[in-house]
Amino acid sequence: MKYSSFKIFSIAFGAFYTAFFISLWSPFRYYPMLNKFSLAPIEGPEAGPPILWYGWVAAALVSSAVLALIVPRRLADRLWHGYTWLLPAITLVVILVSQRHWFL
Amino acid sequence: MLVVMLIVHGLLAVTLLGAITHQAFSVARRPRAGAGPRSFVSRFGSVPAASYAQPIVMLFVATAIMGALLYPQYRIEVRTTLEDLQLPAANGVFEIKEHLIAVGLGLLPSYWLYWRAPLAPEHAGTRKYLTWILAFLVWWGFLVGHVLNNIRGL
Repeated sequence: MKYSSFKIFSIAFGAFYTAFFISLWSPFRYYPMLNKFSLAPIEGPEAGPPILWYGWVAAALVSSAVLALIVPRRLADRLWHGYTWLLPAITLVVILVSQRHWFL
Repeated sequence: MLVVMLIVHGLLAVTLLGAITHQAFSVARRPRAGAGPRSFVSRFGSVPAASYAQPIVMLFVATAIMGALLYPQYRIEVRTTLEDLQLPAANGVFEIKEHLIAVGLGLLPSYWLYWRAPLAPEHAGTRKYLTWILAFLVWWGFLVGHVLNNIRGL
């Protein structure tokens, strides 16, 4: 199957993203009050709340793209096609469960 | 400028919602030969689903980018208001929205791959579930965005 590395990318992206946001690890943060990106947390009330989402998406994008390039094509070809929806679906369940604290 | 961006974001989302819902209905239906007059639901799903795939990918990305551009203002104004109003559930559904949209972005390459012409009949199931997951993500994002805009618009 041509472009079979896309399968790896989609499977890995959700897993990487979920791991990053659950661990609250982000390669950078954006401080909207300061209109500034920062690699390190900025302390103080003037900094306001940071946005980590951009960092999570960027990190998941790079990580899954690298993995998709590393995994040999014949391996990606042999991967069951159902994993492309089943594993992201499981990721969605993990996300919903991890966010249940908002509703308790 | 912010209002214009919000309207564009909303219009893109409506278009995306329509397209993905048509496609989701289309992959769910089983056409029967010689069937009588067709219902509205049946006609709703009678679309050339494959032709929707590429626009859906582009609309999803465009809507997500617009949302990402609006996000800082949301973080400063709307979220703090929701916290002041002690509406954790409203905050929670938006938190979930941002995570689901991110997962949706990651799904797009596979979604595009399985909707590429010529459609492989053996991948019909994969196409169907990818489409339904994407439809769920889009509906969640749309409804949450709409409700939160009603609580406290930008």
